[in-house]
Amino acid sequence: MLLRRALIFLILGVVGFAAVAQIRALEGERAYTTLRQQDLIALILGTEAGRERLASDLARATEENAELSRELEEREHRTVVRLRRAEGLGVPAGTREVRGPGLRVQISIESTPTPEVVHDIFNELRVAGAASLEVNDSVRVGALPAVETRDGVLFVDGERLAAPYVIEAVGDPASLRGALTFPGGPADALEETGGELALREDQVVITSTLDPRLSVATPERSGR
Amino acid sequence: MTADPTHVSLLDRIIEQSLEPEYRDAARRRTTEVRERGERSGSGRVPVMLGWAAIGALFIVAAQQSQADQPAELATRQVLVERLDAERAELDAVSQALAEARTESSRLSSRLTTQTRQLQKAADRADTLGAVSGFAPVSGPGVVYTVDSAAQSDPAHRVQDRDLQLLVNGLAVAGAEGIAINDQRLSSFSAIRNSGAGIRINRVTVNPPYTVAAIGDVRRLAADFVDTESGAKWQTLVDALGFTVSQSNRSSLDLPAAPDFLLAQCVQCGRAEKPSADGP
Repeated sequence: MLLRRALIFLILGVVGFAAVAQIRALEGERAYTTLRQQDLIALILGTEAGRERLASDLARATEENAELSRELEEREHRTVVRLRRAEGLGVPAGTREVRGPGLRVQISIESTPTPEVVHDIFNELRVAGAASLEVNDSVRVGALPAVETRDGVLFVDGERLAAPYVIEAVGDPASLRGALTFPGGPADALEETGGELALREDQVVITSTLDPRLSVATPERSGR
Repeated sequence: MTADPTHVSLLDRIIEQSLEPEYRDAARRRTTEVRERGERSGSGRVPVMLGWAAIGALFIVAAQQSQADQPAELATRQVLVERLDAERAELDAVSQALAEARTESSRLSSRLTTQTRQLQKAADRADTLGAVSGFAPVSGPGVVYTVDSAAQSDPAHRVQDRDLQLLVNGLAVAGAEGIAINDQRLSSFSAIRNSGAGIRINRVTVNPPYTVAAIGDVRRLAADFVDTESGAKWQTLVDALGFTVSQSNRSSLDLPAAPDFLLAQCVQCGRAEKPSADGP
């Protein structure tokens, strides 16, 4: 009786152990154990198809990104070119301060200098390569300086000016001097009317600026 | 162990009583019968044993075959599971790469938008500065003056640089925003000077008749010009020297840019080269 009972306990123990071992083994095989081979193959093919679809999406996205990058780089380059252009144009447009060696021209005359005399000096200084011109430390000379005298007073761009009338030019001092002192040039012309041009080569600092505003003219748009 | 019924456990009882007494009796009876029959015919045992042996052999073969099949099937299954795992891993990798590509795409798109705005701003600034300095083309309404010397005039009566300068200055005082003479745009680096029988502007010699195109408010420009000091002097000059002058308002004028080499010789201007006409 005792022997039989021990035997039964042993058998039950063995069965229990086997069951536990089996469950452990099943867990090790993960979720696919419930699938048959055909199901596994179908799942592989389905996954493969999905992956291929995503891969083609990825290829397209990568290509588009490369195109975006190229476009971005190109636009960055164009922006740099435009900024450099605007920076450079700040000198003739009169929006930027300009400093450097140059010539200081003082017009000494009994009366007020005429617009013709002033333009004559502007013209010659420009031909000699003046990068920037300024009158009386207050008026920047642009592309179309408006010079006039009203009731014996000199106006440049509507700005009232008084003696001493001084034109400063940034550029090669010797060239600028030569442009005014050649025979029959502005210096001679002024002397004939009893006046004088006092020239002094100097470091010139031009700080006055112009407002780059247009009311009726429309700039042609350069490529963007 | 004592067979005291009061102390028999449930398990023992189950074991004890698992076989009904009738079965027990029948089993006992059969054993006795077989024993009796076996004693009667001892030679009849051989075929029975052979039958049992055949059945045993069958079981062994089946078991062996089952044993042989099982590893093959397991191996195939293992390969499939590994393949599926690899496919899933690859799918995950591609999916993640795609998500990253999409993130990158939206990042690039937003940078492109910002950059486009910056380019727009820089280009607008460059165009405006170019327009006011004479280094970019401009368009707009304006007045065109065509000026020539009197027919059969002697050299002293020809249209000279100072004369055109008078016209240009008067138009500037009257509010002109851009002027070109025979398509030579007047810039901050331009000068008007005599050159033989013609006039030199932007290192180009232009010949009469001179076409002076000025952009400005057409309702006032010509009238305001006449009222300027230079305008009055110009009229006196025209009358005295017999210049032929025609004047017409235009609703739209296109003025070209002054040549870029004038900018190139300006060391303070840096590398202000003209951008190529690229892009959309």
